Amino acid sequence: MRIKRTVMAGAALAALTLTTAPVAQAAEPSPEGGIGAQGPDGKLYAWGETHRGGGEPCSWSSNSADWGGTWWGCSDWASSLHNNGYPGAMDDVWVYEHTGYEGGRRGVHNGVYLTDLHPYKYDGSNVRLNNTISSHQWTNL
Amino acid sequence: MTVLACSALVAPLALYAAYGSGEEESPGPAREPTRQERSLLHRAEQILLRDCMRERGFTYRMVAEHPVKDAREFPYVIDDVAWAREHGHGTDIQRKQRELRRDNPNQRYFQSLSPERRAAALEAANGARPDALTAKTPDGMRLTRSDEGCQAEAERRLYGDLAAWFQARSTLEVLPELTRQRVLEDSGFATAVRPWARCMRAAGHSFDNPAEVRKKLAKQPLPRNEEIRLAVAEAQCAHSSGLAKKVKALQKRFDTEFRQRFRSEVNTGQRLQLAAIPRARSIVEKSEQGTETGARDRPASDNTSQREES
Repeated sequence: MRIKRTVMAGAALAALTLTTAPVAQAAEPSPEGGIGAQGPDGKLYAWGETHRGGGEPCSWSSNSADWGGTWWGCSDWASSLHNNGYPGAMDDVWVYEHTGYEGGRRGVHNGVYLTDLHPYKYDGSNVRLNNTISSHQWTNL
Repeated sequence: MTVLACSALVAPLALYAAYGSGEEESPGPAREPTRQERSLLHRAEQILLRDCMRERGFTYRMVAEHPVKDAREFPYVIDDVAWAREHGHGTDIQRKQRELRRDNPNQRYFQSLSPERRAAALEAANGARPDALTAKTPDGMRLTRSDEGCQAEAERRLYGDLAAWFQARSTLEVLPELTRQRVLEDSGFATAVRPWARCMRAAGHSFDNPAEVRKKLAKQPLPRNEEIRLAVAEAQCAHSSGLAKKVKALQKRFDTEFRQRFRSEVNTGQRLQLAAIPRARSIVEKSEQGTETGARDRPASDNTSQREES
């Protein structure tokens, strides 16, 4: 279960009502301990706490139109991000506020690490990234 | 492998010294690099990355600047009728981009390695610590990256000051996004969208704004001929309603405003790019001189299916 801190009951209930759709590209299993312990394996990583904290990260090597529900997936959960893909074509990432690559978006270059998403917003938007990212796709920025 | 056979004989430090020698020039007044200059910078960066990875025992195939032909974004409304006739709303391009992400020579190579070698390859490319350098974007986001690894090394060789370049790039790349959002929020945009929506309705497509079209297509993809018909109507209406012209004017206005507001960072970024151009030219020339076949080492054309090179 991927709940962190104190997820508000209302928000959680709302999330449950929205998670009936199948996960288009579920997060891939990551070995315990995050990047430092597992050795890098070329993915986009998302952690539930800042500075790669909160235990096992979610990670993806391909696109994901739906990071999964708040209770069991990775949507509306991430507080730090690292694009550690192997360089090549389509090695940058857009992260999106909503599933289906909708809502605000933010580009994360290959190799870039965002240690703490709390203060930041989607490009030109008033919505904060922390606990709101719900999909991503690889791109060339 | 015959590529860069001569250079491969040169010790790494000497090779990099050669890349940077004798071409230091005064950057002159800041200006936007031309398309050709940007391509040259991309090409040189790819050569440096490939050579650095090779020196560390790994394979990296250079990537074309525009790996998928005709890939472009229309953040406000499609305003290119010819593009719309060929690509509709671009689902064919999106499919190619997804396929390219899944299956390209670098990913295939990377996935073919053992877990230990994968980790080593990634560390060689991206560095071990992703938090050595920090940049702050115009809207306050704090980004970090490694100052080690071949990507950092390539950019350091090209731009001289990696930390300054990381900061400048982070600024330059956020400005279009700030402009995009500002245009979309402008009341002039909303006003200009109304005649566009009337035009679309007259053409049999009931949408209040271009964003609605995207949302509908994301939820319910259309057959290709219908997608193209809808995209062509969107583009034609953008022109006949005046929306395309309004968007262009707003984009120019806000882009100028943001560039003025962040002119110091913009100037720094442009100066770093301009100063890197002679170095880039030297790197590309040396690489091509050191390539026996030559043709193998030219940038992959945007019109070919070859998206990555050896």
